[in-house]
Amino acid sequence: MRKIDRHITPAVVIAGMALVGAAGWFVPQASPPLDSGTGEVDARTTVVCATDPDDDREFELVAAGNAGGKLRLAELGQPDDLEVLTEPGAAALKVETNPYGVVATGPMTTSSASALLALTGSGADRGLSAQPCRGSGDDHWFVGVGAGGTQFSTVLVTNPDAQPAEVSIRFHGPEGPLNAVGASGIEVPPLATRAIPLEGMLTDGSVDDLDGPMTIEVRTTAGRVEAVVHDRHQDGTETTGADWTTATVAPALSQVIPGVPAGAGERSLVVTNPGERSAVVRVEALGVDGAFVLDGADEIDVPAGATVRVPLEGPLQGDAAGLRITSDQPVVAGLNAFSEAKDRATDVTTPVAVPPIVGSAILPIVSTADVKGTVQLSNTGDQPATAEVVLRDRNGKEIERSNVELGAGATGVIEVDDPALWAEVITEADQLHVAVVLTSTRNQTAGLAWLPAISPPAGQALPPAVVDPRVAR
Amino acid sequence: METRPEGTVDDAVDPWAWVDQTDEAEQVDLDDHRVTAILVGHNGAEWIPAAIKGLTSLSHAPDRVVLVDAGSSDDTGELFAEAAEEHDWRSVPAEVTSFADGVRAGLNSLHGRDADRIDWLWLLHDDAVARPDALAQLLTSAVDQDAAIATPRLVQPATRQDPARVSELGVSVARSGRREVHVDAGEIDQGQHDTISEVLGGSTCGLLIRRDIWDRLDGLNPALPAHRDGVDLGWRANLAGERVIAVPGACVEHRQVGLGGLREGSDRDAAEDRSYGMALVAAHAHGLGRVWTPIRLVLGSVLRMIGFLLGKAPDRAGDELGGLAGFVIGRGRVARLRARIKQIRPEPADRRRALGLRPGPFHGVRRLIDGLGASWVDRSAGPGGIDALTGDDYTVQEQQRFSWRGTYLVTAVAIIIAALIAGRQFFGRGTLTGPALLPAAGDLSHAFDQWLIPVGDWLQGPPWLGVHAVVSFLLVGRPEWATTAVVAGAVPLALLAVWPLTARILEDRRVRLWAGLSYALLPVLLGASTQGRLGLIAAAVVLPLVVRGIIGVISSAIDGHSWRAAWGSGVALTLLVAFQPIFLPLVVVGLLAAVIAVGVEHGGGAVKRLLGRAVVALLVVAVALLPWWPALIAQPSWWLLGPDAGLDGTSLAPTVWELALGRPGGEAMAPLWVSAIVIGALWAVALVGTVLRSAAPGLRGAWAIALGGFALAVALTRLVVPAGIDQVFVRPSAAVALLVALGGLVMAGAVGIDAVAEGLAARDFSWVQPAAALAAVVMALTTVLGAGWWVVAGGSGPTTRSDVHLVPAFVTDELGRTPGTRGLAVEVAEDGTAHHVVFTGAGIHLGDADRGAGLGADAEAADRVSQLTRRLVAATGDETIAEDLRDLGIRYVAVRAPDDLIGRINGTAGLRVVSVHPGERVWEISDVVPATAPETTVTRPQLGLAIGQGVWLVIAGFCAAPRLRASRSKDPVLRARFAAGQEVAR
Repeated sequence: MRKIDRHITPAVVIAGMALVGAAGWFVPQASPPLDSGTGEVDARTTVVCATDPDDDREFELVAAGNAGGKLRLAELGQPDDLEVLTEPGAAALKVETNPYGVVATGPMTTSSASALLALTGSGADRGLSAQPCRGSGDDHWFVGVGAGGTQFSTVLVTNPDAQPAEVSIRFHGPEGPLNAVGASGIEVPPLATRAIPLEGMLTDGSVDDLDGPMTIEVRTTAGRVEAVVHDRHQDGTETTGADWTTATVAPALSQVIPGVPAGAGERSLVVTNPGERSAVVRVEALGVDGAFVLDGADEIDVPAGATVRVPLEGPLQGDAAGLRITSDQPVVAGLNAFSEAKDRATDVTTPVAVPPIVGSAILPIVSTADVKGTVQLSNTGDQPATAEVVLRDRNGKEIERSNVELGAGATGVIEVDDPALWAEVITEADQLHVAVVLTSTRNQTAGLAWLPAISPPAGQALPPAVVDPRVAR
Repeated sequence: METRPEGTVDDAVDPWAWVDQTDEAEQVDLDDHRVTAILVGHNGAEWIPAAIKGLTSLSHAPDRVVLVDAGSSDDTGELFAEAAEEHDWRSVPAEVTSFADGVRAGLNSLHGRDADRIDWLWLLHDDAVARPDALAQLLTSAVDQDAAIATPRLVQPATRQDPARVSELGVSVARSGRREVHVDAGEIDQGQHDTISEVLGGSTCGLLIRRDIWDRLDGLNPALPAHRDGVDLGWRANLAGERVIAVPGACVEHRQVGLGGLREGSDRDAAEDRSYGMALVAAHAHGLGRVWTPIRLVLGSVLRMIGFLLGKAPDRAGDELGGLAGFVIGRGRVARLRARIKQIRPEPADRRRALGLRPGPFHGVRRLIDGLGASWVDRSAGPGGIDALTGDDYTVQEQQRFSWRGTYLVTAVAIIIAALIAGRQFFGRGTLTGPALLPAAGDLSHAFDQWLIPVGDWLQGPPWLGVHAVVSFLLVGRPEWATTAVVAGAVPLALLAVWPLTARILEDRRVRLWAGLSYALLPVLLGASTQGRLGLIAAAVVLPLVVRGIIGVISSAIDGHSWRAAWGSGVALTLLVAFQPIFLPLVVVGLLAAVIAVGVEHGGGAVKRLLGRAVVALLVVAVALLPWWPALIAQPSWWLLGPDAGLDGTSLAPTVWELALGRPGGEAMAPLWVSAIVIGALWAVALVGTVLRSAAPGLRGAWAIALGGFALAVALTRLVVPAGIDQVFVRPSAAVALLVALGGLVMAGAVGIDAVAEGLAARDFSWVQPAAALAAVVMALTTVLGAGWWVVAGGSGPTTRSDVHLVPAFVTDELGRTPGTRGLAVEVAEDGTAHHVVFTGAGIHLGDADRGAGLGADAEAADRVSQLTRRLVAATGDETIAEDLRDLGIRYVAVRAPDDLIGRINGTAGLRVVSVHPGERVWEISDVVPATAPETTVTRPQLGLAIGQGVWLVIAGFCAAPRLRASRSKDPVLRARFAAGQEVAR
């Protein structure tokens, strides 16, 4: 009996341990209530499109939205609306040079986009030009610009606020950072655009060859600005093309440029390593059948602070594609692409790296009577992706709906033949980069332009937030 | 300086006395000196025979002896008359009320002076027995030293249980009027004092004074009828430029029956002594001191009185009150004393010399500290200790105490040094912060504000903030020091707290040491220091006191003795519940279990007594934390959470295996291998102990605690509950539950192994002993491993001292200047989560996670800020963000995030950059209208409430405190020892 007694306590203890262990094993743990929601409610965003004050072309300001709320098109700082959209649809206005603001409120902040288009038959800006209207940022990187020689770039900096802003510009040339005069403390007046030509800013001897590849960083030092670059290319006195270049994604280890135009013509990839350690860069083409490393582009050395140009027209063989640039150091990238067609003058555009779309994105211009659009979608994810491209007319009416299936690393191309004004791209994939390549054959010019599809930040899922007093300790 | 005649009786006591002998003493010719001994008796028939015998046994007899009966009502007069007749002395009956008048009456009975010899008076009490060479020593030294007055070494006679102790070696007077006797309290008389020294005065017992000086000073002052008269005489002699010396070689046994309360009609002697002491100090004050000294004496006396009351010595407080009353009412005494002093017209040099013979200004404080230190060492070494507050039945085994004092002291010192090394990064500039630790309040006032100023519907802030504020007050008003001391001192504090408990429940001293160290390491293994968990550390320190208290409650209920343990348990439990409310229901359950067990074992009477004591203990908690109960009822999740639980987040719950290895989760846990070895060893020891000694007393209780703790840990970590007044969702930390569990495991292991060790001692040598030795080595090594990890890396981690902050000082300064304006601080984590908080000009401090930081209880504003932060960090370019910030009174936004995100946020309209650092930026929003400013002042009702709580806890503490051991007693030895200043609770 005593022997049994002796074993009772250990037995009870072990049983208790087993019970507690089982409870811990099987009792599920509670989760905190999810705090979902987006910033759409009562939000208001303003995107800006800017032109060179000396640019006397006629422009088309296009805005499209696929939600309720309000989308106001107006000259920046002016109280009068040029047009207001309150339901899904698009507006296209002929406008003259000016900074324009497109103000979205409510649901329109999450599902709208706007752009500026120009089509000219002669002059220094001959050809097709397009720029997306974008919100303000702190730091703008422009790849493949020029300060003389065969390329003349002008930075258009727009201050959307009623307070003065200030920017400074840093140059990265073939050998590294370049010295420039008058590149810092550049004031931008309230509600206005300031054009800053790069020509003449570089000090003597700072660069041997102005035709070398160049990248600039426009950094805001006070206030906030939106910036775009107006590029003009020429060969001697002959214009070879003009376009606006939109800012590329900030330096990162991986960059994706969607919408490399199909067809003949020079394709020069420009990569800049703004860091202090040299980078080894690899370039892959995201073709229709998947990704492949381009010949001669599997190991490109980019010295610290320097910009390199990589000719890709050979390896690309005139196919539509996307480009994925990976590096061991953060880099920025863009592509100078020229059109080339028999008996037609050339044109240029500069596709740059853009972020993937999140859920959906609006392409404000896809095709018009004079412009043909090709929507290009590049899937950089590891898994196949699907997307829907819905073409709509001015009133928001659906014209055509295309389902695109994309393998990992592949690019899909949708030629838009029907007259449509704008499109909505919808996907559940998280690594889909989209752009539209615009071409025109009017005025004996092989017009070429490029517009990215960028999901409005306001439409993105908001990050989770938790109260944490340690932050302010 | 040394003078000691040859062949003294003390040589028998001190065989090395010859070393100090000099030839000079032999040269003193005593024949030129005439000594008149005057023995004054009053109701001393019990002691007078011994005194007379002493007089007759002197090696150098006085030339004349006068016996004065000062109006005795007993046989004193008869005894004197008989002795006078037998020895040819003179007996003088005198109706006098003071010793001074008695001496005067004796002198008046004498006639004639010897012109050839120097006259001396030797004053004696009826309760004094002079050693045979006392007079010879006194006279020789006085002559040799050219002193006017010589006072002997007074000793309390030896008893059967107690050796003779030195009671005085000359007497001085402290600034408070307290008697200073130039020997340590209770010092055993071993002949260790051998240096003649100048003193202020002495007892009149055995005092030898040159007659001419006596006459010049007009003798003793009758204003001091029974006490301090000798000091006054010596003091005046010093002021008159004469030397007063204490002669340790001359020994007189003095029973001090008056101070001991043994003399018939002497009940007020102690009060009179205090009164005369104060009068003496007041009388000797001069200049501005005449005004200030009486005030100081009265205030000091009141403080002493309070101290005695707190020490539960009402008789001593009564003495003090009597003394104070005597001093205040008898102001004429001061005037009479002053009149004699005035006659002297002392030289400044003599006044300075007399001052130098008195204790310094802080002598009393120093003695008190010394006494407390000695008392603590005594207590910590054995059962009792800090938790004497919670126990009744503490007895000290002298032998054991002395043998273990060294080990405990060495261990304590080693652990403190180790804690300083382990916590090296906790010291330095800046503020100490950690994953679970916000910066301490900037000053004491702010620390109290955090506790006292309510938020929302509260009556008061969380009680743990009150404890922190009080600890800050004790650490010279520095909240930062309080936090640092607690975080850095986790292990030593836990060790000190658990020692007495181990002594209570464990027999084997080695097992006690192992258990104590193992338990003390638990808080750091659970991440207390690396994460800055004040609640865990507080629990680790207070829990053993509560357990010890409950054991005391149960014992006292069974024995039917005092209620002290109940009050003490209540106080300890209040501290514990203030930090971790979960312990209240746990303790209630424990007490209910105890009630059942006691009922089964000891019957209904014990159950009633236990219930009564349990009610008292719980009542202490209930009343002390009264303002906090509404908050606990309104938001039940408080019961499960500790201090600033809102910092804990909702990360995944630890698995069962992690909990079993004491890993509650969070940043900077101990490495897995350390947990596995140290905690694994605890499991192994507990299980082995259980298997080998399953019937060991306390084993089942320990296992119940351990398994209950693990069950609680499992339950807590499976929940997500709202924390703080802003209802932030958190997963409750399992750390405190694991402390209970692992503490139970340590207890189970220790109890089992203790029983095994006991069995081993009685067993013949076999393989069992080597196996046990090996197991002991393994146990010791694992503990050493844990301690080693703690010292090397236990303090490293995210809890560190830093003066780099996201929010610049100018931001809080600006916000402080405009009440109602706020700041929003945001930190974007790697996973994209926006951690944020709204703050005011006061910044963020300890308790703000509970108090809702800058938004308090405004849940709607908190929701808006949360959404706003998400929109801001999403960098949507939303231009309404600035307007929303303005609406909320948010003037500054500080963000720590990757540079590119900061750049995108910078595109938000209405933000103006005011500060830029890599990865950090601060923006200002213009035209912000202040929101409703939070309350920043404590109202009278709030203050009254806090004072009420404090008074209640003081009362509870008073009821729990042990009595001052040396309260008034009829034991003269103890009384005299006490009178010498040993006023420390034992």
